Amino acid sequence: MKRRPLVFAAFALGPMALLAGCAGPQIFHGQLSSLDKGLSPADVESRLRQPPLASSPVDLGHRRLDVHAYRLNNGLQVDPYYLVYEGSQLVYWGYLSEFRRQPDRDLAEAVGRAQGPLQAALRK
Amino acid sequence: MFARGLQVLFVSVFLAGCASTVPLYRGQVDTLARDTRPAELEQILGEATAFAQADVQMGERRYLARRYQLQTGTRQEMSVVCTPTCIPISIAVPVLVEYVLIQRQPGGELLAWGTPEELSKDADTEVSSIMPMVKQRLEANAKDAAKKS
Repeated sequence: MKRRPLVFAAFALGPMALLAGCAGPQIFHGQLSSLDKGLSPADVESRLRQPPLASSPVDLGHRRLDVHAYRLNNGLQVDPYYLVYEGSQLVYWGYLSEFRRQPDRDLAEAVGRAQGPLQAALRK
Repeated sequence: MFARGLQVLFVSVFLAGCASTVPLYRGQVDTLARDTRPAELEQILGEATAFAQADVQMGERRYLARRYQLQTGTRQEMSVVCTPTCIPISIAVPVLVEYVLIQRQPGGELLAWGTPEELSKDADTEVSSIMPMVKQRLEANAKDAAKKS
């Protein structure tokens, strides 16, 4: 009989723990088509309806870029998603793999360098 | 058993008949290229339904943008049909994503094709710079079309 409360707690807390894993600020795939090149960080925050989880300035010497990090819920899992600004204008956004295959190598370099400082915020 | 099979077949055919629009498929999109001629493009698109289209002017340049739905796969959904015996049936529901084709005007040269997200961040600035207007016009025209229907 004493086991009953434990079993009940397990059933009640299990789904809650699962839901907690989904909680926290996230963006969704449907929101991405609202982004355009040239948007300011404030415009982006307004369209995504939330600020980035973290941001990191990256000085490449010849270019200064700002990397903003979000978490994107793709329906199966939540992955890091990055937006890069130059002169306060959005220049590119995507998963790390998308940065690596687009033609502007500086953008991939910037995200690569910013990853370390941004990781802690993304793990929270 | 035979009667049940007939029931399932009838319901499947009935549901398939509900599809009033034709999506694009990967096979069609994979054959597109920058040098695809306008007539060839229409042939490739075939019966695919354009949900909205818009003429966009950017400076001296004019473009025609068309919005389709690309079927990327299917997911299975279970449903119960009672005719009058109740039987569970599995229905394949298409997974669709918005897909946009842009042609230069008046020649109709194919400029770009992809999801709005892909085109908005395209490396070609001619493409990415017209996307805010393309998205706005397509959305407005789609709403107008929905009101009329």
